Amino acid sequence: MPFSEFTFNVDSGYLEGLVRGFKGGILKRTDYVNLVQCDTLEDLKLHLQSTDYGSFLANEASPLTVSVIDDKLKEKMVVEFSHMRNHAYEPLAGFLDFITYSYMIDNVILLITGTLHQRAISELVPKCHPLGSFEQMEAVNIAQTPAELYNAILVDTPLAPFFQDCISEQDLDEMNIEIIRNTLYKAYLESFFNICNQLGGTTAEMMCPILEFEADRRAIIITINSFGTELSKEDRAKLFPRCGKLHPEGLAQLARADDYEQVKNVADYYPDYKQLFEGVGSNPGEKTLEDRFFEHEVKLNILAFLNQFHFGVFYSYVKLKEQECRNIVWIAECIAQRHRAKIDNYIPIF
Amino acid sequence: MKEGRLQKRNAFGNQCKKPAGLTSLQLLEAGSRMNRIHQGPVETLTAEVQGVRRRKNPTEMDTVGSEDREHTSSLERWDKTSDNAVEKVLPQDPLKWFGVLVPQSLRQAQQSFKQAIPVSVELASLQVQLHDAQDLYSHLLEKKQQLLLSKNRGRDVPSSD
Repeated sequence: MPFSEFTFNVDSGYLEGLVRGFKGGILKRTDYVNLVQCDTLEDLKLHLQSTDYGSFLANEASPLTVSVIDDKLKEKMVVEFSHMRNHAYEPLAGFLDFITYSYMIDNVILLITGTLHQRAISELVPKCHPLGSFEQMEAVNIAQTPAELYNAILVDTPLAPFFQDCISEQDLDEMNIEIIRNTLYKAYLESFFNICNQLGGTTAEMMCPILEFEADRRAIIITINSFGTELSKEDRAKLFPRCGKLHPEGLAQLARADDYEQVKNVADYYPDYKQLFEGVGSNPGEKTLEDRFFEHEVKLNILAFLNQFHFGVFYSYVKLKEQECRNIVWIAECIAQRHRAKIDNYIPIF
Repeated sequence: MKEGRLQKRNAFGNQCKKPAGLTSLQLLEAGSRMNRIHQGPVETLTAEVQGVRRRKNPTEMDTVGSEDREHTSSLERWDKTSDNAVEKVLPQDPLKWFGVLVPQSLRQAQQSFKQAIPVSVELASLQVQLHDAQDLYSHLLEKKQQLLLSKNRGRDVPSSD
């Protein structure tokens, strides 16, 4: 729709302003420098009080643990997101819901795996990501096969359309659960990509590169992590999301790859990804491939804030807050375990 | 999700911490009173050392001296009942706890840890050997002192005539 900038503020102006305010509160490099110099978790809590987080840890019992910090950080982000979702009209409401579906997939897989290992449902529900909660969560432990799971429970959740490709009569075991997780995520990513394209305009312009990178990154990571496991090449090829730049030739080559060198050769055909593979290693002082992917993702998400009147800012805000949470937890773990050699391995955002 | 946190933890697995026994080994070297270690007496100790090794790996069956046979028979009985349990437990790779597609750094961490275990076992048994050799040496030194004293007393007695 042409000139959609004129009417964007009618429905979503307040929320865009709000999310830009939240974005201003994301920790800067100087904040991270202060955090890195802390000696104990209590110091960390003190330093976080002077940031946007405020006294979010004030009511926690001492001694402070890293998992408590992690939960509270997530809770703050969820409160902000829920506020925005509650005030959103369509189509923003649908877009925000779509962001939560990836967390819902993680929760479903967590619950199924927990049930497989005979854990009580009351133990598992607190471990689920709060953004991805849905009503039928407690009922997941009843099902024994994926077909039963789908017919009884998941058909009423928003995840139902993603299950088309992965209903099978096989029993749930580790390999199949992993396959289900990745098939669901593939369906989710492809339909998110289609929705962004339908929304069109600046939203499509900003979201599509991010989602393409996500798809390619998943394809590469799945390929590398599947070396040495029992996942066959055909099964592996079925897990690659097809909405990225690697589709179709890159994905076909990745499906045939046997070792890390071949994956690197495939990535060399694409200049963005060729850069990411340089300087990667597992020696101390070198970054891992996952770290380079996270850095690239942060770069793409920051770009979303340079443009106005689109929904990409909401997605990027969620992802940047997630990265900030990972950074703080990494620094907190280094402090708590008194192993400060790699404490600078966080990814600075602003 | 939790996986992100776990991924980050892998870096720690690559650097194995010094086993606690290493510091006491260094103390042994610093406070050592021995200059030479006889090879002969040490070999009789290896039976005991093998006893130590066997207790750590109950599934290995070594044939040793008669005083250890009671040890082995009780161990054998325990092994037969626990073999079934051990066989069920062993194939469960802890890597599976983190899903099937785990990051390469986690696999490497597991490999490094597996490589570190025989090294630390060897260090522990070497420490026991050194300790025993040191005890034997001090014992023999005392004996030598006593023999020298009694020999001197014996020489003194005729000269006082």
